[in-house]
Amino acid sequence: MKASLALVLSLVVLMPSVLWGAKSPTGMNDVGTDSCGLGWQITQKKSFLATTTRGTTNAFVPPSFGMTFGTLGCDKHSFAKNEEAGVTFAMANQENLAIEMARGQGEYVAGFAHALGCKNVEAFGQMAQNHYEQIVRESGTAVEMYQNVKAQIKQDASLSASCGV
Amino acid sequence: MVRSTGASVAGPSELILSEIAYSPYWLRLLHFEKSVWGGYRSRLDGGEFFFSPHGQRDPLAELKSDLIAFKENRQVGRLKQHPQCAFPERFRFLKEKLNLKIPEVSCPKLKEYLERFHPESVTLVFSSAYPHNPGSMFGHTFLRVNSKNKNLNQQDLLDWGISYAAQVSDDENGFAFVFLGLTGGYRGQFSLLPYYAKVNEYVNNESRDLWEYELDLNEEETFRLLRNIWEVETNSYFNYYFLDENCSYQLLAFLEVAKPDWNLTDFSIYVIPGETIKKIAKIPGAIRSIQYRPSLQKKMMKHYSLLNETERNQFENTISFRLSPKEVLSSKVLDQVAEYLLYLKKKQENSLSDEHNRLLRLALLQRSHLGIAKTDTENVFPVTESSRPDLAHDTYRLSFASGLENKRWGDFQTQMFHEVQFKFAFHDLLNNDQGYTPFSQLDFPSVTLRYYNKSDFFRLENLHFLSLTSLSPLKNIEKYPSWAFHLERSSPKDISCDHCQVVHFDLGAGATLGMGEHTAVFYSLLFFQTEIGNSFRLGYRVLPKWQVGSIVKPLEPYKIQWVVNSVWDVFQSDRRKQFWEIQMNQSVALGRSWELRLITQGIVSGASTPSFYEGKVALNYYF
Repeated sequence: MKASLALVLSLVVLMPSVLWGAKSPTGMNDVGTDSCGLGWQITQKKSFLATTTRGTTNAFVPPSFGMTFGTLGCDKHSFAKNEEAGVTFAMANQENLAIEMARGQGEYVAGFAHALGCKNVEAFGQMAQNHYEQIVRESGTAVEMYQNVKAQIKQDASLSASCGV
Repeated sequence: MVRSTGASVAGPSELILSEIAYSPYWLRLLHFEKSVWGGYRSRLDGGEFFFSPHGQRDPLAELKSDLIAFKENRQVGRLKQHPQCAFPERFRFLKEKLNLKIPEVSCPKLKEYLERFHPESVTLVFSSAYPHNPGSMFGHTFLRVNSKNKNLNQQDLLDWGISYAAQVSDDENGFAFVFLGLTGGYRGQFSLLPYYAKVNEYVNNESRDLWEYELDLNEEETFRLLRNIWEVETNSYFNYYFLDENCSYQLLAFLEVAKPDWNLTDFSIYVIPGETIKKIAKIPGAIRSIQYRPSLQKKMMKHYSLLNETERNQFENTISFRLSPKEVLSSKVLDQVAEYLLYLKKKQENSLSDEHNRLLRLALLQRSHLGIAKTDTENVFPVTESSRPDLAHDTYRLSFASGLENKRWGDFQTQMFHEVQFKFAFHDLLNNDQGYTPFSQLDFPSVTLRYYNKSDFFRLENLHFLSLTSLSPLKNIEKYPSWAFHLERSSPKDISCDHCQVVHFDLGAGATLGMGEHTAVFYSLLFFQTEIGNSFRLGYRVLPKWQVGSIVKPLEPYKIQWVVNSVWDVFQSDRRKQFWEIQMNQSVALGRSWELRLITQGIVSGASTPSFYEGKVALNYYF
């Protein structure tokens, strides 16, 4: 009886999501023009899925399966293992980084600094703001932004030390 | 009960093994639940989760088989691991309990999985509704594992999020989705993502708020939870049921493993994600702290409201290309421009026009020349009680009402009635909005029975199926239409029939004006409305209406609503074509579970046609 009651109720429960599905969020697919999506970035959902539940295409994969680059179409770039965190962060948060680096601070700037191994977050933010034009190029990709940041860090002796470069 | 005899264990006695096998921890670890017949059955639906052929129903047989498997050299599960690596939490538990002397094997995949977390605690994250879509008010929950390796100001973007959802392919058809979802046709699946990916998904792309409840789990408890998730995800799966065994329910089951003295999973019929938060909040000390991450939309609107007149003008001139960002010297204005354009981009399916892209570029370049702002705009979102979902009213409703009804036709005059109503869920326009989207409605089935003094028993007054209302006030930089939808079986009051029942459907759209921060709304909606029933000459009638209404909240627990409907009965003879429905409703929330309402309504039409008035006092109990 519980099952049939549940079935009836749930038909009604699901109607709103079917009828009134919100706009399909597509943001996660757009990670610049690097054409190398990480596994977990492919989360395009149908609109009605998004309300009551969530369709995910990624599995709960061990890091050796999903979070490395080689298999994910990034072959044209070569990164050392210890660069993964920084590149991934840049790719997933390109827009917020572009905005916050112009401000020279913010949680994305702090997160990026940490992902790059930089201990002095304030100095990192200041550097990003000072060299904004060199770091965030017009229609530049996330990977380019990452490389520009690395290049700027290397030119700054105290920041290089703080970032362990 | 089936007892496996194949397992022979030399060391511990049968009694000790049995004690452990039926201990709460073992039962939770293997996700057993007591069946109606008195035995046990694990909720794990497939894969290689049990070493004993009777393991799904026999905790003791499984325990004995596990003890053998941990010593064997074999590979199991999706990742072809040694049993010790595939079931690390079971192994740890049994090893400690029985003081086992089994040599440990090395588990590189497990190690790689666990190494990333550096756990300090776990946060249960609740995502609220999509803006302008009350249909999504149920929300969603997932976990975040809080790392202790953090910079002071880095917050939590680099922590790991773990969510559990139905595994549905992107091109699944809608009907299959509903059917399979209800009957357990999908497999549940865990996914592991950096928290920034979740924040991007919810806060930025979908403009939903995130509520973060840090739970009282220590490092070891968190590891137990992580190892148990590993055991399920790499070897087995749950079938996903939208109603009960859904994302929220399963996460609670895993939290019960981490905290053996928490009892969280005794829900009935359905589990609404928001309810799980309330469930945990009821355990003393279970929640350490609450954080709130407003959606991109809310952030932008709030920051806009903090600008002064000049700044607003500059902002509006900049986004309408009348003012070049190069001439703007206020970092606040430029920050607002950037935030607005990011919001616009997300709203437009992640694309911006070339002009807007150029504008964003110029604004950011100009902003980078203005130094680091001292004003901190991040702290303008305090966690307030009025919005906390854990303090929201419960969802089942039992209502008792008494009132007077006056029908100006036939033999009937004023008569008294009593009413009982039961509603499954969820939230209506007169409810206290605390923890819900203000001025929105999502109502699920309810049944209302009415007893008139003159008649002998309760009659069905109303059988309600579904109602949705979204009243989104128009704002300077954002204009959304308001809309409403109702489907019910009700008794029409404007025609002379004795408690007849018709199927009522209406769908309306219009606009809302807001006053203050959720203090009052005034709305106007045009409805298409139809009713089907034997009482009508044609078997149905079509009655479009124009609705003007207002809801005012002068003081927090009190709400008052006025509604005026001008209804046009299309196929009716001229004299009775048009009539008015007028309502005035008031409600006072008495704490979290009780509520008092005064509902009055009347129908006024042409001189010689039926009129109707009704007033009732209702006492509502939420549970």
